[in-house]
Amino acid sequence: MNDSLKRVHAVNVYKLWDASDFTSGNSFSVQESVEIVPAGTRCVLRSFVANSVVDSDSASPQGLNINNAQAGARVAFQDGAGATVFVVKAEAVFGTGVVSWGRNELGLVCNIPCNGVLFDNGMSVVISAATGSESAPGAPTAPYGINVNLLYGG
Amino acid sequence: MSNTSYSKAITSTFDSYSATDSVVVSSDLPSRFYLRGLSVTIGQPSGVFNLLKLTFQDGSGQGNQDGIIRLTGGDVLIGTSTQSIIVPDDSYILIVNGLYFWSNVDSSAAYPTSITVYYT
Repeated sequence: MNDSLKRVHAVNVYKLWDASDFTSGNSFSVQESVEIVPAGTRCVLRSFVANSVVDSDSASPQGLNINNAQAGARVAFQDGAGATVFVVKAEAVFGTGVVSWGRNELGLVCNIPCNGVLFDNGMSVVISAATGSESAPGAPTAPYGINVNLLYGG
Repeated sequence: MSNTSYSKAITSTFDSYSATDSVVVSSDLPSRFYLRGLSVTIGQPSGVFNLLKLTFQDGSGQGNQDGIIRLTGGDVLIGTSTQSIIVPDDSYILIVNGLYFWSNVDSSAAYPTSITVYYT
């Protein structure tokens, strides 16, 4: 009775950059690309969840020079040619619905409608993070990164 | 039939494991099954840890390595964080070597980690 079900593959993309990775040389912005399926290969993105992570016990990301006015974490889904299909922000959000100081928690689960988004020429996930104060880009005072869980099918 | 059938569910609670070891989620789970979802409460370890990671793997012996699903949490004010990963209704993740996890911190008896597996 399970034969009509579709198999999906679970992939985790995780990166925690050191505070020293954000420099004036890179405009306090870093990114990394992870190939999920190679160019020329078809896949369907069925679902994903993304959150940012901060390795600090500070009361808020803003206090760590991770301020949305200048900074943020983003996840871009690209095809095999490097064209961006869509982008989502990876926010630190609550995992319990109670105060958790905006840190480290799971993001929103996105079950994509209509059976998913077709990538007919490969798929890569590009994670990027930028840091800064409310007024200017700058280095964070704690490690900062992104966690992405995704499900894709053939 | 498949889309209207029901999942099985099993919950395991852990208050004793060591960081970086691979831990089997439940000895009552078969090694090969269709994973349909997870609900996880990541327990707070002793002391303050800024960033908690719980990573699920298909098979053992991969402690402190990458896995197929990773959940993150923190531990200020609240002892635990509860999160879920639910597979779309018409889909499954095939597990063939048993479902295991590893954590970056030791567990705490005061705030145990609880994992519910939905499977068929």
